[in-house]
Amino acid sequence: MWGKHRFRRGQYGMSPARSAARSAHLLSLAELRPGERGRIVSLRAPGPVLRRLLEMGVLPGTEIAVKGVAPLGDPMVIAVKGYRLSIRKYDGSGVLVEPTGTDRILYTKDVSNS
Amino acid sequence: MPTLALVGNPNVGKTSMFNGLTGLRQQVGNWPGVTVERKEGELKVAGQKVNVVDLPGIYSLSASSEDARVARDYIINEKPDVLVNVVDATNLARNLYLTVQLLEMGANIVVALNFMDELEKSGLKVDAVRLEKLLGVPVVPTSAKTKEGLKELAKHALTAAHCRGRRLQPLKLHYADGVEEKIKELALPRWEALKRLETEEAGSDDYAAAIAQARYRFIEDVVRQVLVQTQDKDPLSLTDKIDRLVADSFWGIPLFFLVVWAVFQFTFKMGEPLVGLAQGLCGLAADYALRSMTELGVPDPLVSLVVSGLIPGVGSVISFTPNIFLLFFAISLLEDSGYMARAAHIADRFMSSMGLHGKAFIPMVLGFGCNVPGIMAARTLGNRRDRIITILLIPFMSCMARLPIYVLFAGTFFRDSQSLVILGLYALGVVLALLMGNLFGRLLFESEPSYFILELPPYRFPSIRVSVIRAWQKAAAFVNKAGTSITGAAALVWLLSNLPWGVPYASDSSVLGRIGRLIAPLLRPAGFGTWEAAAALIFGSMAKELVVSTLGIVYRAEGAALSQVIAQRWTPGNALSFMVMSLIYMPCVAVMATIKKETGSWKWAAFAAICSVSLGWLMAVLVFQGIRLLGLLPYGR
Ligand SMILES: Nc1nc2c(ncn2[C@@H]2O[C@H](COP(=O)(O)OP(=O)(O)O)[C@@H](O)[C@H]2O)c(=O)[nH]1
Repeated sequence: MWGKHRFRRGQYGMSPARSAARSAHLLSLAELRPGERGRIVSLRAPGPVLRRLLEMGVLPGTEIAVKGVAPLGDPMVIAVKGYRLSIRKYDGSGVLVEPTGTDRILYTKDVSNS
Repeated sequence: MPTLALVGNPNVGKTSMFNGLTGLRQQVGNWPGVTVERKEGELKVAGQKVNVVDLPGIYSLSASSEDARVARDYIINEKPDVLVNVVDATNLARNLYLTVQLLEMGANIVVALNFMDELEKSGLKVDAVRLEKLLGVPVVPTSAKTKEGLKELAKHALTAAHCRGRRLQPLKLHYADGVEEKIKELALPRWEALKRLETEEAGSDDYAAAIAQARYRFIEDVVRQVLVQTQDKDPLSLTDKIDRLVADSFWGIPLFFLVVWAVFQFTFKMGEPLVGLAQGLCGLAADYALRSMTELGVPDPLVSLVVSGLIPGVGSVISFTPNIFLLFFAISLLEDSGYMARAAHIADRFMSSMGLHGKAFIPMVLGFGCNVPGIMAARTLGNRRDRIITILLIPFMSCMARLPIYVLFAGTFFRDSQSLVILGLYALGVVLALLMGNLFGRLLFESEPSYFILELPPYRFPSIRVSVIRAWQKAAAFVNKAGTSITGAAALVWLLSNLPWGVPYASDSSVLGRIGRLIAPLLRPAGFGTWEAAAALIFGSMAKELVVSTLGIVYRAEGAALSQVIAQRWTPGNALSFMVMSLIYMPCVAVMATIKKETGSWKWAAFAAICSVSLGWLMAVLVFQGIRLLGLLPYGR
């Protein structure tokens, strides 16, 4: 029901620099699947959403892992800074992530990662 | 008397801490002009009284939310003598973000390192002494649930409050060069400059990101030094296991509906006997008042005011409270167990299509029982935008008090398709809510985007005690805040039905009857332009139950006889438009008073009234004229 392509476009307008970055194997948070982990590279969102992401610790340099997706396909659950966050794919579409692996044993101690 | 304020993230045990510190000597209210709850209490420590204020649960001071603004303004303007920053030790990094901001302000804080009892179980250890050194403020390990460490905390807080004169050295982090330059340029105290950069300066998005990054870098450095993992397992592995089933699989959906159904039944079905009891007591009180006042020779109008004006008014206030109590008990259990966040997570995909937040689902469903508790449940929404839109939409949910109207009219005119008609009315309400939700979002809150970024706290066993206290406070606050307006409105309607003195109650020669006559022409396009219909609607804005009973009074008939009168005087066409009108036209007084209480201003209550009256009228006219033009149903006689 929710094709990935819906988010691939990037919801908040994408600068040329970002499209270039994307070719270097960066994905938006919304494109990650359960079990995949990655490191946040950059962040773009409307003001209030950005501030919310920042205060929740979703910011560049942080390791995140996708834990699951709600039964209707959205939102998704991510592990960040040692806790769990549910986030609409739309709101995570401006979070660019460098994939770092896929596993089921997620988050041990992301403290050491930044 | 020194003032202590509690500040911390949501779900860190702030309420438990507040209750533990103050006992039950506390008052619940609202911060002036906003939808945020304010709690105040008193603590006695070492023979000294301390005023304790509970600030809203927030993740940071720089968010644009109402909650953050309230906390920020309070700390800056009212300068409490000491701030107790409650921190969840099992979720240290994110919790310390707020702590860092407070330290940068040079606020006089004491850190309560809460959830110590759970920390060990989850295979973690925190070096509190080390943390104290790194932060430069007292750190007291506590467990608000078992009340461990609270005495210690109170003592430290009092000591800190007394040293208030001693200016605390604000924490000074080193920011990226661009930020540092800008701070110098602004020539303000450092924290104020930071606040400006984060929220107001041009390009503040980039500054905000750079500032947050530097803060988190500091925090991770601290966490690395104080947090030790003692077991080689993820502290949240159990929560993750449960979530795989409850939050992220197909099975989450039936469970979700089961829980929503259970909350609904618990609130309204369990409440029934209590509501009956409350009403019975009011009947007894009325009888007693009638007897004793007649004996004392009190003049008749006064007796009537008390017996049929005030006592029923108070009675209607009281009859809401069991539902509110039960509802908040259930909600509190759901919140504390962690399921509430999962319910929002599951419902969000559906709710977002209405421009709403996932957390709006449960309040809206409760609205089908009674709008009042539904609106109160909208408290659980953190964001002002979402909260207000949800509150405005709940009156479209057809509450149980509207059902008798449908039963009477549909039963009289649409006997064969009664349930279909009634179902259609419920559906109409939902569809209108859907449309209006999108409209309100676009027109009223265009500048505030809707988003869903919600913490899923670990699953925990909720505390019955905490839930009872919380439910009790909600019910008491409702009686306090909404009670007067509801009783006042009851007295007013009583007055209108009895003036001028001597007319039969609510007859066409009473003021109410005359107002009905005045309004009737306006209702003619909708097909029910009679003073009887108008009077029923006016009474209905007191409480929707009164529509049917008013019709009974004005037609001097009840039960089957009333149905017969209706069959003679009404037509299928205007019966249908009247039902549509009754569904939409006006939140009852209790709902209005609750909207006012929850949004902090009459503005929103008035808006809801105007909106729904015009929409109800419009829909009723559309329905009636549609029937007339298309000749679908008999519409006149
Ligand atoms: N195990 C444990 N549970 C706690 C502690 N403090 C609070 N809780 C529980 O955590 C839940 C949330 O607490 P509450 O006081 O409502 O947090 P608030 O949202 O910050 O006001 C409740 O079920 C509490 O019983 C604690 O120190 N240890």
